[in-house]
Amino acid sequence: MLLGSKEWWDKAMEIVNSDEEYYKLAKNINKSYTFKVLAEPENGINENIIMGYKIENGKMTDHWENERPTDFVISGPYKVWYQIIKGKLGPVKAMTMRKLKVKGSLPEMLKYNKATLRWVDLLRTIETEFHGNYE
Amino acid sequence: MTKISGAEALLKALLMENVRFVFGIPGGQWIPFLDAIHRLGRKEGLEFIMTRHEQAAAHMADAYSRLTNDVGVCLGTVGPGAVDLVPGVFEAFSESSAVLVLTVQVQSWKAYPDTGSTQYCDHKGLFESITKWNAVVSHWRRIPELVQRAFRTALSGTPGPVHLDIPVDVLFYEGNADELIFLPPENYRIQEKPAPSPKAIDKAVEMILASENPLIHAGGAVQRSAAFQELRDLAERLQAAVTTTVYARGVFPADHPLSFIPMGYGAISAQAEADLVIDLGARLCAMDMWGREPGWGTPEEQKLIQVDINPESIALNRKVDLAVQADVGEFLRALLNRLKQKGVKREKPNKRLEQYRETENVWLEEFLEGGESNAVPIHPLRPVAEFKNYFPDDAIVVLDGGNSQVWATYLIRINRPFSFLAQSDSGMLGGGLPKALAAKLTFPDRPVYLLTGDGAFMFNVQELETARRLNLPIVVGVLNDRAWGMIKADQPDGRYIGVDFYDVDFSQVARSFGWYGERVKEPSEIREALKRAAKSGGPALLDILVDPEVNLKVPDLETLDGIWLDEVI
Repeated sequence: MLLGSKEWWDKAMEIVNSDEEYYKLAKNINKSYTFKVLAEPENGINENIIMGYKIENGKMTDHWENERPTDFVISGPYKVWYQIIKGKLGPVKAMTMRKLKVKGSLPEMLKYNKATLRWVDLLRTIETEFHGNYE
Repeated sequence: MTKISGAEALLKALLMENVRFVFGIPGGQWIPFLDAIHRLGRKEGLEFIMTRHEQAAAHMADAYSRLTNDVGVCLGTVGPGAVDLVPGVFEAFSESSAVLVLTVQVQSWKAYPDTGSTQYCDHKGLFESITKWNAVVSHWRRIPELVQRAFRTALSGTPGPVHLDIPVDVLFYEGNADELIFLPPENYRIQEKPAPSPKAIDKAVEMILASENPLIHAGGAVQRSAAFQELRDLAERLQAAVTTTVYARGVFPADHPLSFIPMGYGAISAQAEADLVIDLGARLCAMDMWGREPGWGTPEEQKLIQVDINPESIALNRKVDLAVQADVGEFLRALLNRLKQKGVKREKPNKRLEQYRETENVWLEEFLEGGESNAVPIHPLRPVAEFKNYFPDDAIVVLDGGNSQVWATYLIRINRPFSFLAQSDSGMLGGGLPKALAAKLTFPDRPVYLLTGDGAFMFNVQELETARRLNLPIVVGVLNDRAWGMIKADQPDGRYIGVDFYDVDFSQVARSFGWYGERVKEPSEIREALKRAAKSGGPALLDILVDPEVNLKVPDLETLDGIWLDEVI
């Protein structure tokens, strides 16, 4: 499944919403998120890929393409997202190294750090295909 | 005419500075100085503390300095003895500790440059890069002047280690005592500390008045100025969140409602969202997340007042909006006076502090749970919690480096100044035991405990003998995972290389040095073992077998990694 495709997000929803551990960590989360995967023409990714999703009471209830106002906007080059999904880079490390930039309330983001880590762990279980030279 | 030797002159110059301890290992060339301490120094209250490795001597001098704001003194003999001081002096340099390093050199007519003397080493070159200043004492007549200069330099501005290399003939030489001038400190170093300009205070007040969510970030300079009450007064007057550097823990009570755990998620939140940061002597280096986002606000959205006695530390890593060269104690007093005159006083903190506290509490849950864990093998946080709960608030807490420090840093709260010794900027391993011994020597009436990993502990394990010989009743907890845990945790996909140890029973090692020692394998045993250790009356060690797997998963190691490996991977 191609990263960020409708199929990929549907699978993500299915996995996340059936994970009890994630639910335990995220049951108080009611937030929306935008991911901006930035273009890397030198690696065959010519346009930014923008997508978003919503968590309500610990369940993913929606996902979409393109930009909407959300509580958090997280952006970074395609390579960084690739490294995170492949498990080569932790999301927290990516943020502290400023490879990912976060807009939104940092206290809120940090408060639910463990839920975020679990969420990323779950995404890593999806058989993900990548764009451009990352195929 | 009364004669005085170079060795006696050196001793007299140290006594003028009320030096209590000289840490080191004697060598043949130091005999006249050791003899002078024996004949003259002891009755004046100066003791020579023999260690079993010079590195430990330097760590002890460093710890003494941090706990007293005075100069710690250590020595090493020519060549190997001097070289062995280096790791401890490096830490003192990195942590801005006022230490006087003394080395003895071969005869002046055989040194600089070398003529082939046994043990010869260019000590001046050796210590140049890890001291603020160093010199060769080329003549007996220069001893008082250069010792005075060494103390002046060590304590001026940002403190740091200084080094004197003394050729052996200079120590042996005897001359007329009236040719040497020994001055009291007030005659050769500044007694009043530099105060901020009124203009700088006006500007600071203006920035405070424009701020809705100020934060005070306190560095080691607050400790060196002993400006604890002033810091508290300012925080309460502004109702500002207070964070500290790791080094400066204790300058503001950890149990104060405005205090956040250094590097914790509450602190990072407060630091990131403050619209004004009043930085009291912190250089905003790696352990402060470089003073930049995401750990701090952007310079566009967050104003920075940086106060430092050393102008070279200003704007080291980010732009400042107001740079103040001053002693932080003087700055705080001047600022408080002006705020009082203007009637500036906030009744309650910004509402956002509640959110930071909530974030901190959620983040801390994992640590608290670990501290109560009954799992076998023992969760590394359980002994940390047991030590924390057992010892009173006035205990001096010493942490060595590695994962044991990361576990302990967040769980142990420091409420009093001069109660915490750890490495920060140096990232050093192995200084824990010597520092704990120096703490007990300096404050014999206060409990002292050390938490260390097994890897770090082995660097200076020989100091078990020093503790027994001097009968220093400290309690050591070795969090033993039989590995370099922090490094092992980073190695990819279980491809471990160079990180695993043989299972050493440190309680047996300790007992062989005359310590009380126990190996602890069950969490429920820790408390009683601690009681027995503390009541043993002498130095005591608990070798606590912690879960090596859990020890690879220190929370926030990723955050630290991100800082250390910044822009590398």
